[in-house]
Amino acid sequence: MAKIMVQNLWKRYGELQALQDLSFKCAEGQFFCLLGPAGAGKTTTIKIIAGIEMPDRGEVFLGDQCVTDIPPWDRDVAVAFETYALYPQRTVRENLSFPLRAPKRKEKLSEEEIEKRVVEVANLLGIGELLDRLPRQLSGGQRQRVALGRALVRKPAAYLLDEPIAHLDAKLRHRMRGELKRIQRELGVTTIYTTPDQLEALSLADYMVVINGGKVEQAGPPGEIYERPVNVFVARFVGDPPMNILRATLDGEALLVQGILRLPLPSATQQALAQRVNGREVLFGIRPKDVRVVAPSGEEAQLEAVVDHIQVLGATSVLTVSNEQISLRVKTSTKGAPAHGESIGLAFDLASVHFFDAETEKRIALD
Amino acid sequence: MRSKRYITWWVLPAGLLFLLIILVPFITALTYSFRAFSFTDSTATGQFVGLDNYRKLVFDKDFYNSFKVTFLYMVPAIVLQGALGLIMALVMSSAVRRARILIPIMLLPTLLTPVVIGLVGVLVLNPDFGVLGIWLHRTGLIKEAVLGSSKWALPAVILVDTYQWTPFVAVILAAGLLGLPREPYEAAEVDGASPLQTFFRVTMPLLWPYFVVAMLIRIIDAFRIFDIIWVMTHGGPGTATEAVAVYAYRHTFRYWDFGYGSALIMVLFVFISIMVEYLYKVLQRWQRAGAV
Repeated sequence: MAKIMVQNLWKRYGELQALQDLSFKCAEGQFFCLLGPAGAGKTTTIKIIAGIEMPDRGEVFLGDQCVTDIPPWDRDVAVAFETYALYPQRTVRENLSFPLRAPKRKEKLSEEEIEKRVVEVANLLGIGELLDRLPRQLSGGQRQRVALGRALVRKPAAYLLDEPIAHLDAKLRHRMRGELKRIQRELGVTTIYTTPDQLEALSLADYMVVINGGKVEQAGPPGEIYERPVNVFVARFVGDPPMNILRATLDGEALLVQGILRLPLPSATQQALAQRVNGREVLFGIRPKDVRVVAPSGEEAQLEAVVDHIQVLGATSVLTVSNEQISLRVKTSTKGAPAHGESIGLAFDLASVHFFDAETEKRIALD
Repeated sequence: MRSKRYITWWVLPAGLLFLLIILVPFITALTYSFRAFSFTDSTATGQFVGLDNYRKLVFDKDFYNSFKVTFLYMVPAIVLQGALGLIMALVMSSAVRRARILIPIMLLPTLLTPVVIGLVGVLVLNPDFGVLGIWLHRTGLIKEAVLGSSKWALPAVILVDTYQWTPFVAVILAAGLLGLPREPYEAAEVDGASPLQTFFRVTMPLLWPYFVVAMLIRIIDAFRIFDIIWVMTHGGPGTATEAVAVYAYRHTFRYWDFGYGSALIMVLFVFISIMVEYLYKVLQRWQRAGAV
């Protein structure tokens, strides 16, 4: 177990600047998620921490030791590769046991101990039946579990898991999320976990970092990232369906959104906002769950719109609604949801709204 | 589909060429093999003799010898070319970019015609003025003229053949090596595998399809070796280097026995067809299996 720290990492692949001054800290024993879209630099970061890639600039610390110049096999980290990277001519059993046998490892285990651990991990991942198969005889999801098993079979200072359950089917992925969290808690091994799936990060992480374009956008506990996104990118990326971001100006006591929707603000919010924006335009963010469908031209209705598109997600549905000035996503319960093309009224719950600077797209903190 | 109407016309030129230079000679040879047809025997004027030529072949000791020679040449040559080609490919693929400009130079022997390579071999091994021939003679390693010795002529052919074809094997393997995925290597690094383990666990299994293809192409080619041997030894001394194709050539164009020569060629054809069929199957299997 060890804390992990990366400091000012830079990495360039030819024309592509993969990492730009990336820094973060992961505390000892933490389940740490690296969240970002494809191409954000997640895999590069994992490879640099593992020692497979050298950063152009910057340092990696494992525990209190600077390991930037230490080769991967001496770093005591275990990696699960997104692309599996299994040994093609070896059975699942041999793939799983090799990390325990490799000559450059100091820990020496007896054959019984190795077999015990391999079987343990295989059963845990539900691949106990497949131990004598070759990788090419497995499905994608099964291969991914072997890749994950090859990391979990060791008890290293840190696990580096690169999208380890991305290729599993939805049901299994859901189960594995729970399992991973439980395993990590039991072993207490520091874990860095990358994913492009914000829901996965929110549900697993003790602490998470959102990266984009090789830069840190925001670091913090999942709750904080969801509640207080620091910029428009994080606001849109975390939370599903994505937050509605609308142009707005202050108009006396109220907020005038897209020139059509007048929302009366609580006076404290209004004053704080007025102080910071000075009459300029702001970006107003509201999550789809905070917009309610009400009867059109009823008392509650603050806006009228037409339903353009309905996406049913089981008990809830996401509506895309619009009128001439405005287009919004609204989350509503599927039961009693309006029909396609229907005119509806919308009511806005202003308890948790977000404001961002129109130019820098940074959060305008009101407290 | 309207284009189907013209498809005959598009295929015609290639089809005609195929007919003229492959199908016609093949069928001619096939029919000759069932006839007695020789310039040196006035009774053999092309009359149909059924399986006579093939019957003769079954009892022909020299024919069996030619098969033995073919295998004695092929097995060491393929093993050598596979091993050296692999080493060469590993060097080529690990070479820094600037050194890669040397690769075309290494390929030179493969690009030249076997006749030229054979002549180079003859020159180099000449005991009076060949670099290697003089050296071998002086050091006393091989006292007689290499190509005149029934013991050393075949090894010399193998050596020259290897000189020509090793780069070919190397290029196929190097192309394979450069296309291998990097992740298994990275996993091996994290796992703490030794270089030898990495080679046997990662490189060889992933490179295997390329290796099989290169070797099969070489085996098929080796079956019908003719030109290098003809230029270097004419199949001699005696029958020491007389491979099947050389033996068939001797019967056809030295003894002018077209019937028997054609029968020999047909047997060779069957052998090579079996190998090609096998190669095709292997390639198909790799294609279906895809990359692991």
